[in-house]
Amino acid sequence: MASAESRRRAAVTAFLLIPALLQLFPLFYLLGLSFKIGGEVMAYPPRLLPRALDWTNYSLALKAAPLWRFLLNSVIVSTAITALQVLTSILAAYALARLEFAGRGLAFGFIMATMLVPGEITIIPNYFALARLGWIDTYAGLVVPFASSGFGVFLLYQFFRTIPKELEEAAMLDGASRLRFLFQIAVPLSAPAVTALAVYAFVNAWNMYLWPLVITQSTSMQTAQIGLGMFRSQNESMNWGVIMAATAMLISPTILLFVAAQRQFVRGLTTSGLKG
Amino acid sequence: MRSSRALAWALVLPALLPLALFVALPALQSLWLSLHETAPFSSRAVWVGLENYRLLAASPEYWLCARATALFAVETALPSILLALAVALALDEGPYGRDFFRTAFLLPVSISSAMAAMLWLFLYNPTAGYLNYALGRVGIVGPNWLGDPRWALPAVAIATVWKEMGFNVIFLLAGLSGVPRELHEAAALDGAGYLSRLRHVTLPILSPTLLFVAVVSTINSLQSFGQIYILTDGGPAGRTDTLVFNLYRDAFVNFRSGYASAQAVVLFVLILGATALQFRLARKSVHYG
Repeated sequence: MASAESRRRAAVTAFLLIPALLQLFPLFYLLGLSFKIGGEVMAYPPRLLPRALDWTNYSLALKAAPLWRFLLNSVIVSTAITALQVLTSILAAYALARLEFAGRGLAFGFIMATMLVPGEITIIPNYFALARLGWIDTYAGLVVPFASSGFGVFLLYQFFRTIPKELEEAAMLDGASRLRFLFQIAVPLSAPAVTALAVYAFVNAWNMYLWPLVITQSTSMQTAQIGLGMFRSQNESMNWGVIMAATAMLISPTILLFVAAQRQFVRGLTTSGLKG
Repeated sequence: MRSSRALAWALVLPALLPLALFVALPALQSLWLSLHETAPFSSRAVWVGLENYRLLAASPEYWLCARATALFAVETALPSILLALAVALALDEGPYGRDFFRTAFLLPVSISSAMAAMLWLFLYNPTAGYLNYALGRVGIVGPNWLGDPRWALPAVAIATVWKEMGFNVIFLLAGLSGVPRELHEAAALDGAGYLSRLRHVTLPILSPTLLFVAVVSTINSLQSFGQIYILTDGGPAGRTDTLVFNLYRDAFVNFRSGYASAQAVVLFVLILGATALQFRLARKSVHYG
């Protein structure tokens, strides 16, 4: 019986190995390529592994484009967007989930409805509006339009609603204000959802493409995503090993974050009720 | 009571205001712009009624974009759902090294579509790319993926499926964890084989999750931009020129804001429509426990 069970598990494992290796292959191949030097890159037949762990391509990539600056811009923009979205979502979700006030239903409906609006329909008027404000090619232009998120409010709203009323009443009897209850009890109780929102917001902000492409002009304001495009346009003249070294540098922050925070990310997303 | 009302609005407004200013208002402005003709590099707008929409409907080029978008939606959503379903079902059967597999399938989800496209750009390289080399090893002469009008769109779709399949796996796995073991055991006692249990027990219970995943995959594919920008730039011969890509070019390369806004409105309606249609179609076959 036990051996039939382990045979079945082994069969499923073998079945999964092929797609899993296919998923990992492009990343693995990129890493290998980033260490290949000169003619090694275009050698036929292509070899999976580089001859040596040679960092030449990385220093060439750093000379060809301000990669650290791109990364810094992305870190600044993604961190700011994440902080703002988490804070505004916490405040609004608390009020909508736990306070009775006139217009509550309207405010909730409005915020939920914004989730249905795709970015493509807002991009042209937003561009003109920010141009009038002089926010083109600035951090404000990259961050402020994303200061809050309907999804974030929705996610935390779901969690805040599950906190028992008695807990809040007890806290208030002890003299705690509503905000104190929110930040000292409700938020820690909802830590998985708040973390999930933070990771989700950060990854989304980091990966944003169309808006930064439109709103940034100078190289020094470009985010990692847009900076990478520079290498794309030079792929005829530039060595692919160098391009892949740049890609590896710009890709690694979200991969590391994802590996570290995978559990929170998955848990928060799937318990948000979005699963239908 | 008054103070608690003031407090409530003070808490809601920081979230509400940006959404009103940067989501709701511009959506309405796009609608307004779409009814105007604008000159490049100028904010002068002349009312033209539905002229921009008429131009769109009469433009064979725009219909080709619509066709490319529809094909792309099918070529990405369908494989990514079916593959994710197979993977999720297998993961649910308790393989060894479950954590390794989860990470392997989820890793590409954290990468942007533009970065993912950079990886595939070289894999697709007709002379030194690994893909055609690997195909050659099994006796297949690979096409010039990104340069061949027949293969460019499927090539972009493959890169997209690679990046997005893991997202569907997350949700399908969560849905599968809601299938009661007892139901399987009872069905097995009745002599139902794996496929029959899959059809009569697992899939019906999984159907709301499948619906959700189908809606999200379709909407994502309608909005794809980064990978097209990096891999093909709309080419070759306009075969990967999708609705979003065309919108971007008309708005920010050709500076035709009115015409581009009409495209944005069409896209918005399509996305809403796709969502509504999928919910309607699924109402009959979806079981909400």
